[in-house]
Amino acid sequence: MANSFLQFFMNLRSRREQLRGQGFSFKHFLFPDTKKSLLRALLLIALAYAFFRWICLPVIISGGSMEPTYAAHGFNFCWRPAYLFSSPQKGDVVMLRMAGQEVMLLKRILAFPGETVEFRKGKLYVNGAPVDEPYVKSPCDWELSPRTVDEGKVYVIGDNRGMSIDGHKFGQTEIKRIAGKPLW
Amino acid sequence: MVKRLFLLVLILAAAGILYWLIKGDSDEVRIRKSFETFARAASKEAGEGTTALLIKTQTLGKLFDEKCSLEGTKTFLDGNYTPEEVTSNAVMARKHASSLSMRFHDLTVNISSPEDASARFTVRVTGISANAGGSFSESREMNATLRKKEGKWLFTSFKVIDVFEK
Repeated sequence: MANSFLQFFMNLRSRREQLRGQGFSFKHFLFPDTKKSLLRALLLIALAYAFFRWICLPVIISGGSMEPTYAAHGFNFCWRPAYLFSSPQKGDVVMLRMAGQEVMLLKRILAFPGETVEFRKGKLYVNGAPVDEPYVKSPCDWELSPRTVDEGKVYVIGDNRGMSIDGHKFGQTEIKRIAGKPLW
Repeated sequence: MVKRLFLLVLILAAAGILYWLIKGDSDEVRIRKSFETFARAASKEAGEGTTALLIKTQTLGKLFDEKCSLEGTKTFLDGNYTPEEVTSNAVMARKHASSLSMRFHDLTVNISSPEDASARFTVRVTGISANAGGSFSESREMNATLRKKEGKWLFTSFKVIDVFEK
């Protein structure tokens, strides 16, 4: 056992000597060019900061209003450029900013300006027609009289309809509050 | 190259020092510190003692003007409060939670005159209920107004902003 260890270290030493003979150094291997490496590292840090600060924001999901589509505790990213070249669509799950982007709300868009929204015996109706919602798994008994979505606003609701209607944050909100989409 | 890099670091450091000298003790920084103090004084750690409670509630009372209003909660909480009422309500609220954390996010401060300022922020309160033992988490977007009195920025009003309209 001791012999094999000794042999291993001897081999390692001879290999190192061999590499040194060929002009190789570990310092150079780890830091090929100190000045360039430093600049590359700084650039990488700056780019990573910009990317995760303004383009793809890491978010911790806390709260069960979008269950079961999104678990009450989870991790995701807010993809900001989602609506750079397209408009939000009905059924999209979006992240809505509050005073800023540190705390956001995760909801699903269900109606656009001019459309009427109502709940009858837990079933969602948009413009008087029932909406098929395969993502809703919990039984719902919500009752909400018809209301029309104002201009510049979207009607958003969470997928967890098992919550009481008073305890669930939903309703029409300004389109400009949409910060992006969850990445998955 | 190293000289240039050194120069760049030196310029950045100088800019940082200059910024600190200009902004270090500005009204905005003082207002932000008031919010930090508010968050610390309102929060409660699990197993916190009476001494900590006394210190925190006293600190809390000093942050409010003689009359501070709260509106937009659409509950019995809406109304006007004196610093003493704020303190006693805080004590009552803390009794209902075994641990409580209050944090202000995305705080933007607008100083409209040397004596008046407003702030917009999201407040997030999380904790564990003392009775049921379950955890709770609430977030609200709010506006606050502050008035400067004897060099101190004091809260004069809080208003909840409705993100949704059912």
